[in-house]
Amino acid sequence: MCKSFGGFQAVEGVNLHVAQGTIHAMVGPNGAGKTTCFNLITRFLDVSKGQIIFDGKDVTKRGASHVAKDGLVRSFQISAIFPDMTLIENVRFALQQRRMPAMNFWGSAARLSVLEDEAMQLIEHVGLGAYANQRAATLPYGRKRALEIATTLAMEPKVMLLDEPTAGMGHEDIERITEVIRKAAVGRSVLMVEHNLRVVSELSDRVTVLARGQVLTEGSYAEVADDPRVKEAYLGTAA
Amino acid sequence: MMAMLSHTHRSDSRKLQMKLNLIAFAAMAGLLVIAPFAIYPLLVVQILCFALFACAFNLLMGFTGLLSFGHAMFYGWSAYIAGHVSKEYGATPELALLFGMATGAMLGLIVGALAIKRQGIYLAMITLAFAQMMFFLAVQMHAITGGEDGLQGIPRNRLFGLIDIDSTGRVYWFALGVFLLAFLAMWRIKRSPFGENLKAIRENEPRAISLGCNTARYKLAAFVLSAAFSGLAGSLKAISLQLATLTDVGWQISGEVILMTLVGGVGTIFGPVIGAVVVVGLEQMLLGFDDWIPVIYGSVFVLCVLFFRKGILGQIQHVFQKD
Repeated sequence: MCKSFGGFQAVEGVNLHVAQGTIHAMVGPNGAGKTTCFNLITRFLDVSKGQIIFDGKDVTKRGASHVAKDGLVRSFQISAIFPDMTLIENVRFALQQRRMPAMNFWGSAARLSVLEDEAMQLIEHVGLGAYANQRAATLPYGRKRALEIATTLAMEPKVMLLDEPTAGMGHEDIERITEVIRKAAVGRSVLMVEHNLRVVSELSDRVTVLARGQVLTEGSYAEVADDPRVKEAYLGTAA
Repeated sequence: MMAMLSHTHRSDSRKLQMKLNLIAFAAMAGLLVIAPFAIYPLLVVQILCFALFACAFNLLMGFTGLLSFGHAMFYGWSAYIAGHVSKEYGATPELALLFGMATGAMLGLIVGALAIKRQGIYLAMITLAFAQMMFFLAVQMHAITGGEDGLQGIPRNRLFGLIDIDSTGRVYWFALGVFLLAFLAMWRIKRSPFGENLKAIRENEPRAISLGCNTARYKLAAFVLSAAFSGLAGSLKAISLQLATLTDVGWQISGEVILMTLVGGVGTIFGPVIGAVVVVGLEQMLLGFDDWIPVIYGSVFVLCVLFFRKGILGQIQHVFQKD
């Protein structure tokens, strides 16, 4: 994949392969092009050059909402919730996209209540059962991220893309969310951008390191951690 | 157990909310039935048309979060078309209303398809630009619009070709019937699965897209529905008040409908109706102030935005929710 904004080359020839059933982390210093890669893969941005293959199909030209329905579902760097809706309504919205016909102007919203038990199960799955009827805006930050994962799971994704799922969290929240991700990853692939290397080492089967829009190296956590180029990218060269 | 309890809690609060809304609807309908005995009926008809227009505008701004600054083009042009088909072809009122709605929907489809690609101030500017184009078209297309004179003396033909509505009393009941039906239709749309999707789009569009919602299609559908109901309001005004003029298609009307929606409570079901009553009432009270009316309007607008951001009904709901 390549992506340029005007004269600036944000992503340059990144070749990324996420194997089925694995947790794949993408790491790198700020400005390395990680989130741009996310936006390209989930079709929030158009690639300047290259191809995106998902489940054997070329999705390079598909719309963002279509690839999400295909099973490539993402989260965002800043917690992405519907703040004025309850937790149940947040998760129900995702279920509605898969289960209910689009453009139903005339049916009653009460029809959506058939989805609420399933929504509740997902909310309990991420440990938020006690808050199900609260407005999502009232949740503390760490729990908002957990809600985001529950909402993402409601899409039954084949690949779940998590953009910095532990960013801005305290120690306790990090442990809780790590556990939630581990549970959520069962039976599916996860591609995760993450700065917290402890989380990366605990969760990832494979790690890709990006720097200046290019792949620096790829391998298991132990392999990339020992790579001097990675140390240089993060810490700079000793003078 | 927990799931069962919260399910009961949910359905209870939903039932209570529904009950309150039904009581409010019955109160509104009751007030509108006795209103013509206390106030000049054609003034109430004018309020009903503006209330319907504001509800239609709220469908876009309140439910979807898209600000249009050109809704007068749908209202005004539908008034012209309904007036024209009534006057020139003897169309019955229900047909004239349908023509008006179709005009609004068609214009909404064209403008919406181009405008919804942008958001916020850019969307407002695009809709304003289209509305200005449609205004000048109204000035030029004398054969349909009557140019600067507008369409006067639009006939109130027989409803369904049978029922005479050509008196102040009868036209009031006709306008009230249309208003209540349209109001219920918009309420239903808000409470439909489609309406739930609009709410999510308003709150966080990127997230809605990432969960598989084709938001562009929903926004366009909301735009067309809003334009169609605005068209219904415009054509109801043309038939009931027998008049369609350049004022209906001017930018001031686009501003007035924003004011009504904001004053009443954007995003609420009944707010735009309250807003229409307040703004038209204010207009009547200020008749003696002539040139100062826009200044007073402007001040009300500024005060609302500064101190009543949720509008009258929104503020009341906020207080009750806090309790």
